[in-house]
Amino acid sequence: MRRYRANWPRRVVIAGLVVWSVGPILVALVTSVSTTAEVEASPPVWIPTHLSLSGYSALLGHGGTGTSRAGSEAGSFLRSMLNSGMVTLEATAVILILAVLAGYAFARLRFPGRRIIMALVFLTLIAPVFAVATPLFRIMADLRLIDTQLGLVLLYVSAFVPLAIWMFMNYCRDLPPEPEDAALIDGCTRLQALWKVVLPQMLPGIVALLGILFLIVWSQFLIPLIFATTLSTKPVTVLITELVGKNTVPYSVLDAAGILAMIPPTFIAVALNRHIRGMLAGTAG
Amino acid sequence: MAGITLEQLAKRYDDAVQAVFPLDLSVEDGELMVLIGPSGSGKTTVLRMIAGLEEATGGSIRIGGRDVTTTAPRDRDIAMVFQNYGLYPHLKVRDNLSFGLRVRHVERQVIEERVAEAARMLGIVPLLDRRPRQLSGGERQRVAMGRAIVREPAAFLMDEPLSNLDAKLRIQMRNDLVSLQRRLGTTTVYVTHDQIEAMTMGDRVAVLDHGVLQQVGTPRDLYDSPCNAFVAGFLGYPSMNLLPGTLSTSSGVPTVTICGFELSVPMDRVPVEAGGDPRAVVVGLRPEACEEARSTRLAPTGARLSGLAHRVETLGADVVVHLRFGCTSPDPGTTPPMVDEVGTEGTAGELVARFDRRTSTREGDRLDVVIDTDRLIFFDPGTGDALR
Repeated sequence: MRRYRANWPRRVVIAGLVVWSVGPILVALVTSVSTTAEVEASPPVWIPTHLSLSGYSALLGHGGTGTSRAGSEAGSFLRSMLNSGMVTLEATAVILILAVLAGYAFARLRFPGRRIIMALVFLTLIAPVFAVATPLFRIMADLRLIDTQLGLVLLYVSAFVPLAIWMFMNYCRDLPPEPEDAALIDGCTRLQALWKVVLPQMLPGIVALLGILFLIVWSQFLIPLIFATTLSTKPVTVLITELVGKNTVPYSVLDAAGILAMIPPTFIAVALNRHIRGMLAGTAG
Repeated sequence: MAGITLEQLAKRYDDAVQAVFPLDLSVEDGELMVLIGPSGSGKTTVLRMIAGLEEATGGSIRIGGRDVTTTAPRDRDIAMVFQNYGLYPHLKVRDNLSFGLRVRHVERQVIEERVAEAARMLGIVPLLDRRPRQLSGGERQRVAMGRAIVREPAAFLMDEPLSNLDAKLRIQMRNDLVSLQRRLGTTTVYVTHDQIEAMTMGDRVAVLDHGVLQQVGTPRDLYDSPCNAFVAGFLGYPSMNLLPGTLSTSSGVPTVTICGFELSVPMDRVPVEAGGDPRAVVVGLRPEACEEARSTRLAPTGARLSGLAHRVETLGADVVVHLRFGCTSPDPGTTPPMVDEVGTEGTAGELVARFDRRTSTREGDRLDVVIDTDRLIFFDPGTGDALR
């Protein structure tokens, strides 16, 4: 590590960035354990005098305010977390498999039409989801895939596979090809070489891509807002917006939901931090 | 054990780049053949075609008499050592060594014996339980060698295996490699761009340039009788002097004129190939065939050049002197096109000579140089081919 000489402008900028990025999370954390009275107090109370876990209880279904609404909220929140988790894991797995194989093929193999196929795949990166949402909706409706896990997974796969292939292709290009060559000479078929040598060699990149994909898919909002219409598929990102009542905004419940929804991606980001940074910086390993 | 025969072997890439022009090469059983050439000469492509990692687009490859041109790499019975070692990063040294045998379902006991034997031979027994990233460059290279040895293949293919090592280690590994190859007697094709490696290691050396095989022969053959100016300039340090000159035999005594200096040429050095008289030639002269007139053991007659020592480099064992004749414009129309291409030390009007370390020559001295005319070689200025 290089040591930097501390200087004031530098400190101020860093402090500003930290406040900018961590501040909202801190406010959410504080709000989530505040009482409604304190949240709505004017002037605002920044440091709560009473700790209240009512927001969390409302979502997780322990005690809480005792109203029927809390019970239903608890059920829907847990269900939406489960939805998020299931769809994220499924989509991540499918994208990962496709991206690893295709990225490897584009980086290493020479086959007819390689450049054209690559160009077509990467061209799809240009089209944003909102531009194709309407035609997609009609297609998905015809296929009876609206409000199904399968439909969401397919959408995520088609939306993020090109990006994932591109990232993994670049990663593969930085890996030395010699171990694979050595394996082919040592007696492996191409598939054996892929399985016994190349995949283990690519493992850090696979882990990194897994983390990145998990974070991207978990935080999706627009796609599920359109295509996940009921609680049978609705993810937590969409559900949180529905916690806002017609006449009231239950801030502590909202922020408790936000904090809870952050736990899985935070866990992934912390656990895979080193790998993810490596891939985003474009360095192998 | 087996010889390797390449017949009209060629490689052309899709984008119509001819990486290797059809070449014939025969590597004898147990021989160490060095393929040498500058980068882009096609030497690595030839090696990778022998390995089966690149598809040949023409010709055939036979290993041990068996045609393997379209055979998968795993069925060619060869082992390869790579420049950056190509070790399996996720496996311990022991498993790197045994990988090829395990894939081939060799009996466990045989595997253990061979790994132990190879590790002992290469002095890597203490490293067996480490991973490649925990090893130094030299250690990795030994493991890569070990991985090749345990397979007991018909041939070793080595692609610049010593290039990533520092100079001292490279010399040591060079000697270790040669003794190992002699001991095992395994046919070896060794690719390098380092002419010292080629000269010291090869039983024979094949020189490539721009995908064309230039010459094959023992290091000594190539050094003493290069087939063209490229080979002449590529092998040897400092490079052979390639000077424009005029060869004349009409006066009875054959002479060559270089920059106004007339040297008499022994009859057996005069090319018998037809050509005009006088004719323009490129004169090839090894730096060590030039001696200081005041201390020469050569007959101090006839072949003498004089000039200004404008640069003196001390190499330790000997001294390299760059001599200028004061004749900047060569004989008209005789500037050899390939002289620039091979990047020889000498340019027109300059001679590089290698003197004994006891020389008293200093930069700025004017001195006479005696030429060993028995070592003169003449090249055609148009084609660069040696005139015989």
